[in-house]
Amino acid sequence: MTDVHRPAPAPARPAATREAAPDVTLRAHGVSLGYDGRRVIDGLDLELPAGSVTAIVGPNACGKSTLLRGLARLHPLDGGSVTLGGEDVGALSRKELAKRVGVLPQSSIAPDGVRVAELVARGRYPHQGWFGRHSSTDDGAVLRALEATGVADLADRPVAELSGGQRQRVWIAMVLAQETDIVLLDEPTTYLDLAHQVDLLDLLTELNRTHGTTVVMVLHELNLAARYADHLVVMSAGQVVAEGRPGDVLTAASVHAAFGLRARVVPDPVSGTPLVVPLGRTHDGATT
Amino acid sequence: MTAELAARPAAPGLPADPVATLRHRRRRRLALVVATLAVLLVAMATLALTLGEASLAPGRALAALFGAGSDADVFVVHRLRLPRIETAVLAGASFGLAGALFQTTLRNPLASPDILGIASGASLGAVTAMLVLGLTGLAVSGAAFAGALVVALLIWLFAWRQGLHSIRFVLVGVGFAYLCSSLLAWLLASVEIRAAQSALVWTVGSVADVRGADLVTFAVAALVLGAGVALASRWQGPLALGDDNARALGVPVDAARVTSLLLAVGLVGVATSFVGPLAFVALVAPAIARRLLDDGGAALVVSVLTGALLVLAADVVGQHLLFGVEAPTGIVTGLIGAPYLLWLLATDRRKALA
Amino acid sequence: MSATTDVAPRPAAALVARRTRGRLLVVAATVAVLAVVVVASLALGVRDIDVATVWQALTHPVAGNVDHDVVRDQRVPRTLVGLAAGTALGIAGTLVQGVTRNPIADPGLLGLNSGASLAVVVAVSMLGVSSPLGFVWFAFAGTAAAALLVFSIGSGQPVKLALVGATVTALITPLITLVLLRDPEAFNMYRFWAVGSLTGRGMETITVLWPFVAVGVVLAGALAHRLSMLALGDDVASALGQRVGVTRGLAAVAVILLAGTATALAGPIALVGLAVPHAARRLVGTDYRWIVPLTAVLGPVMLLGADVIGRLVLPHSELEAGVVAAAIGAPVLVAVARGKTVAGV
Repeated sequence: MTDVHRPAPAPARPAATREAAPDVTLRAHGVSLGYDGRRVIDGLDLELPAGSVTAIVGPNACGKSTLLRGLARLHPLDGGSVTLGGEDVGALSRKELAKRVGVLPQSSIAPDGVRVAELVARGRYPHQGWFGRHSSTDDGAVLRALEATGVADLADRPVAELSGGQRQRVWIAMVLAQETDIVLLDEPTTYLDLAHQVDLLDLLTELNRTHGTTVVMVLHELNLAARYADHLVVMSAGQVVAEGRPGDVLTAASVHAAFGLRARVVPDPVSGTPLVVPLGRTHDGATT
Repeated sequence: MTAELAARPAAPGLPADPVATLRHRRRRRLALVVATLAVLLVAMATLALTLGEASLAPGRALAALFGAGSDADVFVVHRLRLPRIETAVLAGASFGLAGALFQTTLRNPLASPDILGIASGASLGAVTAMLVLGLTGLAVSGAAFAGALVVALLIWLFAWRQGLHSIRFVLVGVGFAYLCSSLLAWLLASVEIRAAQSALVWTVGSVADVRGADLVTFAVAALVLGAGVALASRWQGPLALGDDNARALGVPVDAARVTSLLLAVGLVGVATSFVGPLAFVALVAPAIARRLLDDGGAALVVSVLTGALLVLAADVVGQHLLFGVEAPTGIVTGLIGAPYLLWLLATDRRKALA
Repeated sequence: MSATTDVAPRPAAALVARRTRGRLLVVAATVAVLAVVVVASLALGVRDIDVATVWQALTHPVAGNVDHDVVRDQRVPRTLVGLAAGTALGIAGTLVQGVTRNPIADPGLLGLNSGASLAVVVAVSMLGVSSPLGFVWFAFAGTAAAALLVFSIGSGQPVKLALVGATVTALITPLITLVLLRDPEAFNMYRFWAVGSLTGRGMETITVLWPFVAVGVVLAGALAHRLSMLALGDDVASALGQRVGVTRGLAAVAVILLAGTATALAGPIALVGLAVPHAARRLVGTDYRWIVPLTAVLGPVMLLGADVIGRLVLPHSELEAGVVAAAIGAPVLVAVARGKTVAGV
């Protein structure tokens, strides 16, 4: 499980745009997490390869969001440590960490009347002093984030008036405005229809391919995860059941182990990645 | 049972019908809570009968209650102590029920007549009648009732916008609470000190002086409103799930909310006009009741009992146990109820409180 | 992307500049209104004094001139009290709402005013304190004690915090009444304090208390940017590198300083702390770097404005600022509640 495959069709990544990119490999060493004394994750080891798109999947309540929150230090570790490029994340100040790791949690609130450009500009917080003076560097970062997510035209609109898909793009723009080399997203496609899910995952892939941004996301939708992830982590009951290239990891056996779901795994006719076709009590595949 | 459910293998160790089991368990808990509160209420009432300037042993007090014993005993029990107990129970039950209705209908644990300005509206009405118009007696009660009703109506008028939105109702209500208490403070400061003092006493509330015909009127009004609540109570469960869900379950949401609030305002108005605004009984009693029952429901019946018990206990404590002086009931309800609720809040680790 | 970066017109920057101009205009207009209110506060009252005489009284006072004495001895302290208490209330309300993300939170609802009131009542009744300057420290202590109690039980959960605040009020109010019922003299003193008024506090009080307001204002200014992040949710604020607990703690300190001073100066004044932040949000949007300064100006506009109005409505006497402020604040709150979106609670 330790061999990490580079994504096969990875297009030439203009890694040269960043000179001497810092190592942003995020590692969990024996990490334990829980709520009010109830352990959700116990002694978990994990390595999230730098420069790739990693998707964490698993059934409800398997601890995947908790893990992401633990990696981002939004949830205190009960044990173990998290390192970023070999450096203990716990030793960094919050602000220092926020300059290097961008996080989009699920529980984000857009205040009444806030406008797109304002919300995105708040992503510059870790780079600003106490009074948050806006510099031209900040303007540039905000503009780049707006354009990268395709919401520059909406800059003046109140966030509350946007559609769900647009709103999610704006939140991602806010994280991008942080200008970190690694971005963690907790179920970024929730509440989006299929078209907008695909659109959003395309956007994240483009960010990875053109800027070399390391993307780590918790996803619900297995088939989209398999298609878009370079590296797939399957979790169940607080444990990593399997990890590696989606083609190697996502099998009928691993799906059953993690989800308790009988399924057939066939090649995706479009991308060649594994496609999980669930079986059920009423459709057990026997008739086809 | 559908085929799908039948096809599922029965989970080992689970009883045959978990739904029924849960229902039975809930019912047992409700019965247990109700029975315990009822026993406590009877015990407290007995205690209230025995305590006083002429203290009676429980046996003598009970005998007098049923007409046996000396004339003096019968007089003390029937003329002095019983009306006070009945008033306390009626007032507590009314406030408790009204608070529970407010809180479930508006889906906000803070929604009580104290916070929403209805209690201060009643106080303002009564104090205005006393200090500005120079009225006394029943007229003051009428003014209190009118004050509560006017404030409720105003809140409603201003909060209504394509239906009755609960957050709007609370926000507008808080505004009126502040406005009324500000005007009240100003009235108290702008009159002669003696008048201000008697008005202050009224704003605290006491169950000491309701008897005879007044008591009968109070009881009839409270029972009629209570019966109305019983009829409207079947809406409370669906309403707690949110407007859309309630509509989907066939509840006429706006009508249900308006009816429930009217009944609640009626209860508060009636109780306040007879005993004054007993502080925070309507806030505290339902909060305690919900935690005792712990089933996410409206806890209407239990709120009636916790309210009654709270006020009766407060009256007993206020008469006999506090600093050697007699304290009006309204002071003690706050002093007993609030610390208990605080303790519940402090030990409550759960996130959701609504 | 790298190509577009070089494109000259920057919509976002232009937008920010345009909004900045609009907001500066709002703040400037509010400051102008405040200036008018201050002049009115110095000039108007039972005895109207023209502006030239007010100016003379301030710059070249003539001993024995009644107008000059009224301005210097009564109206100046009164105006300063209004400015300090108004600023303190406006900012304290903003901080409380920002930290709890609760639109109905204000120092009154969180039980802080009742804490201050109880302390003042105890001071008057049991310790024989009778001067306004004496009330000050008790008002402070009461505010701080109530804040500690409320925040320690209800920390981090907005709805619970408000419920705890209301319960603490429910606990304290009867205690106050009990003392007042037993001590008519204390009641007599307390009832005038409880209305909320800017009069009767001499220069002495304001001289002692202004540093507290100053510290609170500076602290609030320093926290403003952090509050903007906190508005996005605790998780987002943490993810952006903020230590949320530090923000809440510092905000609590500022609230105690500001609400404590305001109550000490002017009594438990309702609705200013609640209405002013809502009005400010309407005017300048969601950025606390603008909301905080604007509330610092809007607060005194409302409180001092209420005081001036209170001097004018009755022919030969005055309505206290607290009553008028409540009468102005309630419609503001109703307007806010009727707005199209009401979040929270």
